[in-house]
Amino acid sequence: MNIIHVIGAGLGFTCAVPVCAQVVAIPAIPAIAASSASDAAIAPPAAVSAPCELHIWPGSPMRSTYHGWFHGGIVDGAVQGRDGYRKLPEQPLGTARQTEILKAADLAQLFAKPGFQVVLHDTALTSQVLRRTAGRLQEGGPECYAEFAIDDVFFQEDVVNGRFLKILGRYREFGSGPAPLRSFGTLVQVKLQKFPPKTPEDDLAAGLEELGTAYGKAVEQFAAALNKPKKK
Amino acid sequence: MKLRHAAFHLSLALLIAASSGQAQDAAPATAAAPAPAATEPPAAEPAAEPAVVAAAGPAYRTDSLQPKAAADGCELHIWPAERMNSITMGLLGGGLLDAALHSGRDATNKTLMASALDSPSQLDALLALDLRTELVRSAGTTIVVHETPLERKTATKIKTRRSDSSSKCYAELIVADVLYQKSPIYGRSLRTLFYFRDFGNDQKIDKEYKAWGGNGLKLFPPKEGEDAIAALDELVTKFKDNFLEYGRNARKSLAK
Repeated sequence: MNIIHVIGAGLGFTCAVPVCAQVVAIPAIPAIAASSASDAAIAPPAAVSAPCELHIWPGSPMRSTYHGWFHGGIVDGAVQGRDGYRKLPEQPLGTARQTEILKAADLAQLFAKPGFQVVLHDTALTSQVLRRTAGRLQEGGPECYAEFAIDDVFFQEDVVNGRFLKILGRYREFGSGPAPLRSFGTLVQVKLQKFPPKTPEDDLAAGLEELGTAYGKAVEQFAAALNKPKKK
Repeated sequence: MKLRHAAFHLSLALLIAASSGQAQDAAPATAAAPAPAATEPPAAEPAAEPAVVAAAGPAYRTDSLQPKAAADGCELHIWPAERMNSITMGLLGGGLLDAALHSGRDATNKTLMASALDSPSQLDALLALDLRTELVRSAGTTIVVHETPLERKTATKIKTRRSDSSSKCYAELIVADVLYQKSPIYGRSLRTLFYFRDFGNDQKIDKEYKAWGGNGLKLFPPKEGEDAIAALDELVTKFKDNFLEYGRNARKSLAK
């Protein structure tokens, strides 16, 4: 059974999907008008009966790319353990770990959606679903709705600049209509120093810890890019 | 025009150099490829949550796999590419120093390409086109999709069938390489190496055509921190255009 975590607006609990669906519908939390400039289009109407919702989906397990001068074009060479590519620990940043990291973050604050009820899903959506779905990823819900999904998570290494964690995120805001009021997607990166361990003696736990921290920072960077005022 | 060709061939030389040093990319060569996803539509992905829309859709379109006409036993097997490269040439005109200067940009481009043109996206883009017409296959041809790419090192070297099909009317389309190229004179383009082989009823290639398709890019690569979605979508569009260009050339070549 899939689990979603309802985090925002004073709530903080985890529940199975059918139960959650009822909980989300409880009109207990009055929506608070969002404050950032980008929120103007999605500012909740004065008399809404349900809180605004920000739905978050983690990404699929981490992928990899390598850029070198004499080899390295094979996508996912490292995660597949191909000869000539850096060996990575198995599933260093799976969907479950991503969910835990997201759960610990103040996502409503990050995305400048104070008062939004954050609904954190624990299952990744495929890139094809994210690209093809014209309307909301989550059916129903209040008029005042936003969604952020992580499309891809990459360990990227290049021979000159070193190692990075990169995430490609997709964000959309909806109002009363079926089409999004705003769409935004970008790739953000965080430099890695300890991951992956270069030798068996190196501290794997420290590397994994760094990877998790980098993931959280990457989400913050995405939110910062999203909240950045548009150039005039 | 000559300069354009020279720029492309220089890129190609770099790519080939990369490929020649790529022994480590390959697993032991085997004629048999990974098991295909088969002609049947792939199993629906598990729904993420009951109320999440579109989550049950397959990773690529399946409506064109089965022929509209009566199946005649012919098969066209297709594989996506596993190798992607980005080559940015500056005013230095290539070389190691130029490559070093643009390494970060090229690495990021490669990651973006790996996301926009992952295996399901390549297959979906090809299946959106009329492959039977483009490759002069019969209307009754069944398309068989292989989700796992062939090992790049063996993809164009092994000259026997890459699946275990015993169809008496058998052909293959292999996407071998996806290459982003930027040259200071001719700008940005996406190039794709396709390889078509028609085996007929045995293990020997009767006809084959291997060539690049290439088209200019206007949006890719996106600027850092800015909205990248349109640029990523452009890669898919140009990937399709590349195949259509390849298809036109293939029909001319194979008709001779």
